[in-house]
Amino acid sequence: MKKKLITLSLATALAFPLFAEKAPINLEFPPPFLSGTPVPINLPNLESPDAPQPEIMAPADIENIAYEKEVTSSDDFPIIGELELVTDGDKESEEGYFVELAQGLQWVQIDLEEPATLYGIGVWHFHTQKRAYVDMVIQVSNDPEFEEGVTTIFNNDHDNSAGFGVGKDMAYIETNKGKLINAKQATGRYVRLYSDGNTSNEMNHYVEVEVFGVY
Amino acid sequence: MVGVAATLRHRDAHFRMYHADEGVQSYQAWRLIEEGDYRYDPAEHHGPLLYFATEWAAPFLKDEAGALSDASMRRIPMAFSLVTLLFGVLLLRRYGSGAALLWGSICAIAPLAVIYGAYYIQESLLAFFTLAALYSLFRYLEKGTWPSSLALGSSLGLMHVTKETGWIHFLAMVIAATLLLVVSRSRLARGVNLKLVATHAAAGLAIVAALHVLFFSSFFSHPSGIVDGVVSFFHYAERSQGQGHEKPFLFYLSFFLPRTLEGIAWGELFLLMAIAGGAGAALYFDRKAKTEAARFRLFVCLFSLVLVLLYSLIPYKNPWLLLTPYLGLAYVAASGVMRLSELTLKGRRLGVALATVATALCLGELWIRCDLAVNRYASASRNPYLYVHTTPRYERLLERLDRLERAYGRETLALGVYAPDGAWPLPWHLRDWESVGYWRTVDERPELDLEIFDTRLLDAVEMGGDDEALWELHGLRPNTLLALRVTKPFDRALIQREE
Repeated sequence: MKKKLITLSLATALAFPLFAEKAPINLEFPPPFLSGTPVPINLPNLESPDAPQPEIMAPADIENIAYEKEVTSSDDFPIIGELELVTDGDKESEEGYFVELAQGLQWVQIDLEEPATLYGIGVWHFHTQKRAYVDMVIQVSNDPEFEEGVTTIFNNDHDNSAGFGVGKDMAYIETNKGKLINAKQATGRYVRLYSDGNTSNEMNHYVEVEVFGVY
Repeated sequence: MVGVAATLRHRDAHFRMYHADEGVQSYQAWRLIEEGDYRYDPAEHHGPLLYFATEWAAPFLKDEAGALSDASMRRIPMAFSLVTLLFGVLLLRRYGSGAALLWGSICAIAPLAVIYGAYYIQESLLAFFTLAALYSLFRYLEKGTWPSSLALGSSLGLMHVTKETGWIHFLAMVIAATLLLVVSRSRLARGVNLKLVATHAAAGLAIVAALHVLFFSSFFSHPSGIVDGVVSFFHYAERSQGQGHEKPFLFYLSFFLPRTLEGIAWGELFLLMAIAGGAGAALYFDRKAKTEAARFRLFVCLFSLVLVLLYSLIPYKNPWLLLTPYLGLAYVAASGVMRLSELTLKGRRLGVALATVATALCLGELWIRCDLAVNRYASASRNPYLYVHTTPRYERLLERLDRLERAYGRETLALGVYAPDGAWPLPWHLRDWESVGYWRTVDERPELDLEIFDTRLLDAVEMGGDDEALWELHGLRPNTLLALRVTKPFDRALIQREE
């Protein structure tokens, strides 16, 4: 009798959770905390907190073949600076070293003068402030109008707002180290770089673009 | 003039992003309006008047759906700014119509006056009450009457319940008044009835005390606020040392000097020249003059220069603190320009031409700067009149959240915000979301469908290795980025499909 009682009690105890009323777990949402005027963050030497630059294997004597090459743009009359600044070899981000294009999706295009095999592209948009450039797409082609034979080597347009398809590359925060992009040995005479503003404002900027390739 | 001022301030309210401080102030006012509760915080956020003024004006601020907005909240400082302009011109006319009109024109279009005349913080209110107190104090020095003493007490009390820095303004007034008494021949300098002055002062202080008790106790609902309103001065004395907002001594002067920021030219050199000329003339000629108008010009000049000096000596500096001294300096400049019109050369009225040219240069330069600061670069980091301002691309984050909300409904979405400083003004813009929580760190992250991180709490490796979600970077302030993380399938609402 005693054994039966114990067994019944155990069975009841074990079965109880199965029949107990269930309720959704209510997550606590802490309310906002009030804070004072944000302290300005100054980053005079903006160092990259990001992942290290990719290691790209290329011929030992490879050069920046974009140096002082002609640059054209979707914005013929930049707001600040000249298009020549994109390939002049200066990578400073202070005034006088960058070109500012109008808002919206804009591009700069470098004419390498001859088709070349490209191994890497270095990009410095603007690095006196912590910011990331939006809808950054880099393409290579032999067609100056980029209507035929276009190879896309970088695309961080994750929502397809630029219309080149959904990009899988990660957005990144600009630094003085620039961004080295693997060109995957794409071939072409023209390199076109798109952007649609940045996280600070709607404008588009270029300090320098380097193209590492061989003719 | 008032129409131009109103248009610029109203237009400005649409172009300029909401600042973090505006968000914090708006959130407290909204809580007072919605819940009827406000308790003064001695450590933060300044005096109570702005919140109560907003509550009283709430019926005029809400739209048809009964909601408040950024633009509607800014109507409060805008109203004070326009009233300052209107009453300022009307009162200043007695000391010279030309100077009054030029002062009004400067204040109507000066970028600093336009921006902070439509900025939901305490500064616009403080400027109005300070100028009222300044005028009342001068009238009291001249006439020594009960009305002027009561007006001074009321203005000072309202300054006090608006912002603790009002006492710095009053200190500048006292120093200016003392200097004026030393060099001029006002009524008090010629002999006073000390007993009557003491009675006037006691009455004025009684008004200040009454306003203190009323507002800091939240109209007797939180009596501890009465003591907190005094304790707060210890907090602000500590904060005045900088706490990350330290600026060089010449910070306020730098607004007037020519400079370029990210390729854009700024500065108010012609106004600075007019201020220098007006100040020189007031300090040299007006101290010898025996008219009330001359004494007034000298008094405003002394007050403005002393106030700029006091603010320059305090390590904590930011642009909106310059608003009140700027309005004073604008009158110094206007008086200086008008004084040019009195110059003659061989009987010819050469001065009128000079004054016309000076007016055109001052107003023309201010108009160009205003167009840049209020319109083209209304939220840009290259705008020197702004301070740690919300970037234009912050609007894109709000648009993304709005898009998600429209796609899935607010009740479906749970949002976590992880930011060491609250990511203001985001909490203000998300005030109607029910399932939104705020954490200072990612240590207790509950992993929700929608998450917003201050990127200082993340590194790019974390973002790059996440295949389960869509990540987007958004600007909040200069050098402060937010990362929006949206889990599948919610991310589909953000990806644009090709037709």
